[in-house]
Amino acid sequence: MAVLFIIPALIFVTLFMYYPIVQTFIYSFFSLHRTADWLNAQFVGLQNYIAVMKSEAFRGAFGFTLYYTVMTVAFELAIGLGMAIATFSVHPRLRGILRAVLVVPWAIPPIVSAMLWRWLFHADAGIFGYLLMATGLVSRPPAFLTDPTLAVHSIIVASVWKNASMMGILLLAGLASIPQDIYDAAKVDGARTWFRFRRVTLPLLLPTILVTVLFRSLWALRMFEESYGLTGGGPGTTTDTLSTFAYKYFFTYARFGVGSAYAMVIFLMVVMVAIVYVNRVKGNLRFKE
Amino acid sequence: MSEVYVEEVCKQYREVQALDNITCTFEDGQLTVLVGPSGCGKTTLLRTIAGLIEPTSGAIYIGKRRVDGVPPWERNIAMVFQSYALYPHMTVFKNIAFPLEATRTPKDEIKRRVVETARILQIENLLDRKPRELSGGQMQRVALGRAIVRKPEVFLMDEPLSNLDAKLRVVMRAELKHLQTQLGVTTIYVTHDQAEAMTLADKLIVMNAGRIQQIGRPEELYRHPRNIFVAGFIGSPPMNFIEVQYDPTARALVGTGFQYPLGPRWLDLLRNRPAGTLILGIRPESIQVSNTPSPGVVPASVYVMEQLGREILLDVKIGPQTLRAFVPADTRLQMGQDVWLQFHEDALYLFDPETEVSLSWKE
Amino acid sequence: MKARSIFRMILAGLLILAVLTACAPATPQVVEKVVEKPVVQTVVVTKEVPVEKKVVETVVVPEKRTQLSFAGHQYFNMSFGPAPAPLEYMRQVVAEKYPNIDIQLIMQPLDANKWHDNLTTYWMAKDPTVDLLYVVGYWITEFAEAGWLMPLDDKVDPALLAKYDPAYLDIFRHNGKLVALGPAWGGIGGLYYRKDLLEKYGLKPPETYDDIIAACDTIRKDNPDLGCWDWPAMRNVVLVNRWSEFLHGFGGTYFNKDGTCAMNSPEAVNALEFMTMLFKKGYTPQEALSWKEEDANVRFVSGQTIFFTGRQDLLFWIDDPAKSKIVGKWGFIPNPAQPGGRHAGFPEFWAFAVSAYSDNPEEALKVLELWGSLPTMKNFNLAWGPIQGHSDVYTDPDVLKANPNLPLIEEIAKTAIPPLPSANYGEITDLLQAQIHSALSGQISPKQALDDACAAIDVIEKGP
Repeated sequence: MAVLFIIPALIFVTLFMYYPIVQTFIYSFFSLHRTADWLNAQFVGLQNYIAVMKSEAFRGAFGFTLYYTVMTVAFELAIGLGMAIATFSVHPRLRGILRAVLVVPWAIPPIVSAMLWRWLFHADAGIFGYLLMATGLVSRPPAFLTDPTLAVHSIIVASVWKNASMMGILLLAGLASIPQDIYDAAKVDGARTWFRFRRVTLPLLLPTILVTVLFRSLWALRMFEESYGLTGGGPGTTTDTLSTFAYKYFFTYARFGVGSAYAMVIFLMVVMVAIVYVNRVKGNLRFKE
Repeated sequence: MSEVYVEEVCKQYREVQALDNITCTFEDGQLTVLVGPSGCGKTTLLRTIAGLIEPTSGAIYIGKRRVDGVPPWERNIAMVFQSYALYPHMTVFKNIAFPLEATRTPKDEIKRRVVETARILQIENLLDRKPRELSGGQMQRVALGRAIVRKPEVFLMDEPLSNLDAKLRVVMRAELKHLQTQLGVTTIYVTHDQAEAMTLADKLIVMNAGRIQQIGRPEELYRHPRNIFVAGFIGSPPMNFIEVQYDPTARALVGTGFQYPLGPRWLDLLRNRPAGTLILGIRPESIQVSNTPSPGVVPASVYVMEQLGREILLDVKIGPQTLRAFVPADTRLQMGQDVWLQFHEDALYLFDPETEVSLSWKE
Repeated sequence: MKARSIFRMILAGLLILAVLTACAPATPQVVEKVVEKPVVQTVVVTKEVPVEKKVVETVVVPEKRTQLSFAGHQYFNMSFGPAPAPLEYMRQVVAEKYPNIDIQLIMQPLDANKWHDNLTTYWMAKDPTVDLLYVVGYWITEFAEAGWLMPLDDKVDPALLAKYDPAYLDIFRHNGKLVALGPAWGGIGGLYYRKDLLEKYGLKPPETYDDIIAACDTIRKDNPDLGCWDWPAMRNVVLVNRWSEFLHGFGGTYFNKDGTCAMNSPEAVNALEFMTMLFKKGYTPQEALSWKEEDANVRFVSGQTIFFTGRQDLLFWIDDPAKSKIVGKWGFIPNPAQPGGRHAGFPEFWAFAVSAYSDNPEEALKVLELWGSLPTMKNFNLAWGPIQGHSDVYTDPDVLKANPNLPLIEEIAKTAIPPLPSANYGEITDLLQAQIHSALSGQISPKQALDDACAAIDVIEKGP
């Protein structure tokens, strides 16, 4: 009888998760343009995958996405941790309000926040250009979104702003789950603030950090809106992201074969990242009862 | 090794007065137990001494140094928590070494002292384990090890045995007492268990509702409780209390169905007292039960009998009131049977019903 | 045992069902309402009542109604001028003439790329959800080549077709076959300039690209903070539209006669080199590489720049003092051309078409004709402004009154160039966007950008 209760979940998982993956995998070996009828299409072996690997644009997007992921996740972690600790150290009643304030940037839809940041980076109306001019560091506002290096980092800044707070909220929950007695024990044991943080708080928070970083990394690897909204992938192809490829090949170009190959490559990458993290997390979760 | 002195300490939480003008001394090298029901302020007082809670007013001294306002990590104290609060991500070795590492002790010295501590506590074979691989008793020892390894001025123990099962608790209690005596470190021990308090304490501080009720050696508190609270809290089963009328003309206490003639000691104490209500206290172990009446005895009837093996704990009724008393295990009694109770005058306590203070109490 | 085998059968059935369901295409999420095509009939039920009486009950089923769904964007619910919102009017004319036809809007995103992707997703699954649709000229080749649009030539009233400007209709033809009727509204690129400034310095409106540079050099000598020439150059669809104008202005074309890519011809390279120079020398600010149309619009109407290339719809509010600081100080002319090139305006002309997969093609055609006739077209003009393909619109007194700038627009509409004629329009322009933007931002040379683009385009066009 218990099996009956699993059926809905089983159907759901099969229908919405595994079936599309299998379908994409099959498509990736066929030449499919404007049709998804793979039974009548030409089998091309690994040709689609070769096209993916040869694509310079893909390699560029790969590099950017990876850099973006590492940078945003690192900064978000540092800032989020700071926010979490600052919030945790205030009175519990104030904590609730702070938590609500923290969640605001994250609650803004990505496209809206991209528009917001477009204005902040705007040469004429943007606050950053104005501030830099006011300090006299620059004679004219920097090209935040059109200089290749600046554009990459502008997107990172906007993403960090948006997601650090969520990181903070999750880490705050992690901090709150550490028993107060352990902090007290460390205090009484003669540990000063930094020593306590380094030797007690941080290691105990590590499982939360790893899980948070895992989810955020997987999310960042699939980043699309920030880049699309802020730079449209420009200047040139500097801020093109991995996830746009599969989308474009599927929906704009209607090339399902190559699109599927892109999707599979990205899928495998994400799976690998997940496996590495999960193994790491598992090892670190062991001391939790 | 230092004495701890707490002077006029108050702690106010919004509406609640958690500590109300506490002044007491914890003598050098002694084990002092803070005892009282939950919510009495004993743990608050302990944490205030540890520095985990800042008092609203008052002063705390460890040795000659005034420490209120000093953060806990600069107080040179050690604390054992009810939950043990072991660091779950560290091995036993690292747990015990933690206070030494925190105070920048040289590496080889850390090793030497941790091993030595482990030897004293007989946990040398556990040094590589993580806390989750330990039993409750083992965790308890590690927590103790972490406390003693740094040779603090004061040990603070917050119900350290209450997470252990009853048998192990008794064993650890004895070990703890032995260890404390051996090390001779001033120890402040918090418990709600009066039996534990009695067995461990060099000195007891009984607290209730944020106030100190009485300070003294265990037997002092047992013999000379200052008030009804202490009398009822110390001793197991607790002291019996009966409401009686003092009749100066009859020179007796009058209760339901009995009259208890007072001897010269009590008449002397009650000399200036008008007729009125008093609370009579008598410990169960001080009542003699016989099945034949004799002069000056109190008639009662058997209500419940609890065979304890060595003796029988008897519940008897005097009118509507219930008293508990011990009789030898081989005594033949039946439910509802009439018995006669004899109170020895020396074992008797009388309390003022208003102030609840013992009439025989002398400051 | 029996229970288990039944269970297995159920499980197998569910799995098959699951697989079949998953085969169904993803439907775009922007459907305003679920479109239903009710089977309509009038039924008379005769009930035999066994007792004394025989009762005849007439069940009145609503008369036969047809629902047609129309794929359009949210602007169909908005009017910017002295007329009702187009959809309201379109429904009204249909209700008057064909009371049994209901029009259902399938809301499409404003982002034309996503809109395009929605439509192709429907069609690749041969989904009949869309009956009528609003299409832009540069989709025509792709859609018609795939057979997704119904050919209209012999189905639409010839008298109505005759009313349309043949040059406009050509934009909606593929291999000679008309597949959409319009434009119902169109945007076209032209050059805005600051008349007051040019007059002050005794300059004529620019004819060539060099004239623009010369004018800027003269005017900016005294006004160093003034921008020279703004145009939206963010990497998106609009960038290719603007680039097409430069391409033709320098005498280039999209394809050679043999169908190979001509977008790396010397003329084309000159054009892109000129565009790159604009950024390098500061004639166009570097930030323009991140500008959408509205960013550049705002710069021009706030008086920060001398020249601006954009669509004619700015005329709608350029003289509104609440929004514009250059009321009466502007001019609007066709884009410049170098000798040997042509004045080129990129048309974004939108027209009505019927989906080849419509379940109600006849009704859809009737509605198409109705929407293509003068009253609806006039309503478009009054609600959204020009450009309409129906020539009678331009002689209508209401229209003339509401559009004081109509002659200007007509002048510029003549410069319309055809969009890049390819069934792979989306893929090719996507490629061009990236290559052009890379060149403009100085990451690769213009020649390199176009050579690479052409090499890739030839592969795409040749097919497997």
